[in-house]
Amino acid sequence: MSPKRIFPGVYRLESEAGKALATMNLTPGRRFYGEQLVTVDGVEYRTWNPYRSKLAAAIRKGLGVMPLSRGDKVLYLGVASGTTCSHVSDIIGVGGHVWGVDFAPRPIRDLIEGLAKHRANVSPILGDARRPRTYALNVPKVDGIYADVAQPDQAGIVIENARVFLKSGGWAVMAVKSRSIDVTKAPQRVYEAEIEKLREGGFEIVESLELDPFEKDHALVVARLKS
Amino acid sequence: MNGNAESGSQIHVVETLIGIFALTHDNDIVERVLYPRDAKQINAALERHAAGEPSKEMSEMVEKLVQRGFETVIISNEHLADALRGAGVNVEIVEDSGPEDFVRENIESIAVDFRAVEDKTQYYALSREVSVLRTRKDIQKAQSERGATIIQTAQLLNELDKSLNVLSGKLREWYGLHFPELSRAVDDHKIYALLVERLGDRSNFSPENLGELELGDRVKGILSASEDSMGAPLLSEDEEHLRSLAANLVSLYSYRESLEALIMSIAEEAVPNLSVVAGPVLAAKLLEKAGGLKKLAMMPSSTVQILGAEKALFRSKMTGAKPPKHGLIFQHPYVHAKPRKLRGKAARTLAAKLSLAARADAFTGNPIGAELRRQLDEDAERQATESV
Repeated sequence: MSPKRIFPGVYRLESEAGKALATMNLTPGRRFYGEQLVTVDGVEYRTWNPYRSKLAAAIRKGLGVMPLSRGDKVLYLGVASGTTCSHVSDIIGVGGHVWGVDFAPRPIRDLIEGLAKHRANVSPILGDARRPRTYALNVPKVDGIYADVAQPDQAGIVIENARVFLKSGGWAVMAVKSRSIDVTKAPQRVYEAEIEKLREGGFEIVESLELDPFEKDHALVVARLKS
Repeated sequence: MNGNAESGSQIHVVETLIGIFALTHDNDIVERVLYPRDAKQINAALERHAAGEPSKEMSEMVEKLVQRGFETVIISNEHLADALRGAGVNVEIVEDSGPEDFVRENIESIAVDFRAVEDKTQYYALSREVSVLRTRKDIQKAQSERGATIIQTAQLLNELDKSLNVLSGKLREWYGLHFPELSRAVDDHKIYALLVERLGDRSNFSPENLGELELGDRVKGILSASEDSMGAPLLSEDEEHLRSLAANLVSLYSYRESLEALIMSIAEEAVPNLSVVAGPVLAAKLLEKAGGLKKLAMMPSSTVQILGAEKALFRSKMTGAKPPKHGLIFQHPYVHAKPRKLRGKAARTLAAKLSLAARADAFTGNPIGAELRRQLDEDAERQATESV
């Protein structure tokens, strides 16, 4: 078995048992949501399930540019209990930091106990992504925004948060769940409409990918704020 | 501008995690008051500001600004306005002010420059500590708000159960005049009501009709009961009323199910530890009886043990009868599944664990529920194998 680097911090593990995406474990020996720990040449990796994480699904679907890089400061909207966030934390490493926002107390509680307690680069925030000013004090300017909020006005939320937090030239990744925006429209039309909104909000679209079969009626959009 | 401001001029005030800064239009920091390097104290100051009250640091800042001759401060965020006015200065709110952006963009280096922290890493460590602290408090607040809902819903569930029992009893008596044997054949009130609603007259109790209701192996018993019934014929006027009463009961029973589901989801959110140990519905009932999470958490566990058995407790005090072994917590399988002899002991053990869980939910927020539950389960298993 040899880990193949796909992006900085993201690897493909190959063994007789099969192939798997993985990130280097920032906290060796510890796992967070039932993922597997695999050690190769003394380095421990955590497998990354594309059915559990939309970012992993996008990578499996052939993501061309990885917006996340080592040392990034990231604002994560809709962090839930931190499944994807744990891998973001792996990728940005010790020098980076991720602020995870969610408005449901229960998952944030799990995020604190499960992830934030053990990782110095994760800060939890109980807040409403639609009102970025309410957590403006705790979050500085960031290199990127990762949004998975499943709200009808998702693009608007990203734009609003970008205005407060995103450095110019910073990136945004938005997971679009077409059914939480408009169930009656065809998913493709919903994606296009959301992408158009991002453009109008000052973003340049880098790429967009549909996530089936990992997630039905979902797309992931990568954008960059024009400087 | 070197801080020698003319009287009446304006200055920007920006709140950060490390302290309060005053800047000119050209991003020149003219005054600063830093918070102590301690997440708890920082959080306390931020909370005061959010509540519209000035902190010690804010009062100090305003005093300095007034001495320098500034009479009006500009801020970008409304929530600081009350606190500043409280400290005695005029306030003007301007959205997206340049100086605020400047501070936000350079906060790490500003923190290092003014020695609020040693280096950038330390700034992020401090910021994270404040975030965790604040988030924990926010969660606790959100949970106690949900706690109030639990009490209401648990009371409603209680009343609903009482009414459902009374009305179901009435339905059984009235319909029993026509079909007395059905009461024996069907114990479950909901199914009884469903049968009356759907079928009405006894003569409709055919294998085909019953088959449609998906009653499983109850069908046989119901059919044999309907043969040679000794009931009186059913008048169509009565049938109409009975069926409409039954229909209402059926819908109330399904409402009861949805209410129970709501209680479960709120309880799991608001009192996660207690829900794991007691089960969400019993957790809600305990909270309701105790009058809130704080009160439940402060009770001695001997009180928790007999919560809901007040009548028996006072009877024992007045007459010297045996004191109750358990109250509401009898509903927990750990108690009621035990042989009678062991129930008193089991109730004590369970009450102790419940108290621990309630205290964790009320005060520390530590997730200890699963471990407590595991201890109880292990204990129950050991006793079961011993008694064999």
